[in-house]
Amino acid sequence: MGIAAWSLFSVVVLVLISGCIAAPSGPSGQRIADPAGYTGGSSLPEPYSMPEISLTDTSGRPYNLATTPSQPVTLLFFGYTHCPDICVAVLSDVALAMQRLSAADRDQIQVIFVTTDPARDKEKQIRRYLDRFNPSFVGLTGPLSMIKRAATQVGVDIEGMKKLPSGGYEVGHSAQVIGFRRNSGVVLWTPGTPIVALKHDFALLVERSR
Amino acid sequence: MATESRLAAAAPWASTGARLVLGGVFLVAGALKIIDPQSAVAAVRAYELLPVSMATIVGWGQPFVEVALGVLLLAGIATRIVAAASGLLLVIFIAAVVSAAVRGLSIDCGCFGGGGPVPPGQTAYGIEILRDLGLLLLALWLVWQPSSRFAVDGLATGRPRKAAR
Repeated sequence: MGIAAWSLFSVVVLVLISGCIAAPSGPSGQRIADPAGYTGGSSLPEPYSMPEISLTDTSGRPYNLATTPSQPVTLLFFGYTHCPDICVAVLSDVALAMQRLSAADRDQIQVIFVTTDPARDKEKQIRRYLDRFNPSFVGLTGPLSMIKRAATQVGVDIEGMKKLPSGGYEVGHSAQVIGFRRNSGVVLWTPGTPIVALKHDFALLVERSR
Repeated sequence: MATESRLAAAAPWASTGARLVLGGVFLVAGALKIIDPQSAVAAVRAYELLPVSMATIVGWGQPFVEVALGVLLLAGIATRIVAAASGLLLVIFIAAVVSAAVRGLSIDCGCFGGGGPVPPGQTAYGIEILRDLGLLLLALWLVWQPSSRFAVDGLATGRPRKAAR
């Protein structure tokens, strides 16, 4: 009993200490300044074009990536609702950064989540998933072939399914968020970008879209 | 002497109450997170204290630690040590919430599942800190007075037993 209790105690202490000494998310001192002035994102020398592809939103209506968004700035992310780790962190960070923007800037941005696992991610499930971050986030699904085509056009890799011992599977995918200014993908953020940097960059993207 | 005797008689019952409240809270809090681990990860990340990899580990692992602490407290197993671990966890929780408040973040603590951003003005840091301070007092009481009724610790003798130091 004593050994078990002490083992538990040690695990708790180790987890907590490791959490306490972990570096807070903040801009790295070794980051090379982005020529376009983004503090967390990397500007793209050759911008991506928003794919002219129609998918289905969470209310079942067609949604064309290039023509449906009415906001001048679009943040595009590919992921899936069973994603165990990185998707949650990225969407959470984007939601927190959006929350810190002024209402005027926030209104100029549309966040779009495209599932990489349409077999499991039905409209309602995607809606429930996104609502935990921000109800204004748009969720899209569609045939996997079309989703892969859209992803490829913006430099996102979607790997095949990897079976898990539990019987389920995970879908490997790149996890960058791509920032579009009037359908021109000009900047991307990798997972772990500090929220304060995301907020700065989103505001900058809005300012430049005016 | 009579007062001391009455206090000595009441202490095991008070410790039983403390065990049940603290253990129940940890058990419920952990279980609510286990059924929605993605929200737990998002809640941890919302504090902006841990990098993504660590937030994921804590988000997935912490609920199981909470459930374990809750079960051990409810059963009255290694009460003093488990109460000390619970107290340490509560100190971390309080520090994290205070840190969020000081930095002006608008988040839900995610203490009972959920968590993440909330609209400015809808935070409840004061209540969350007071609740955790109350639980911390219970944990400290149990560290001081671990002997209690209806505890596995006391099964050997059938009465409140002094916990191993």
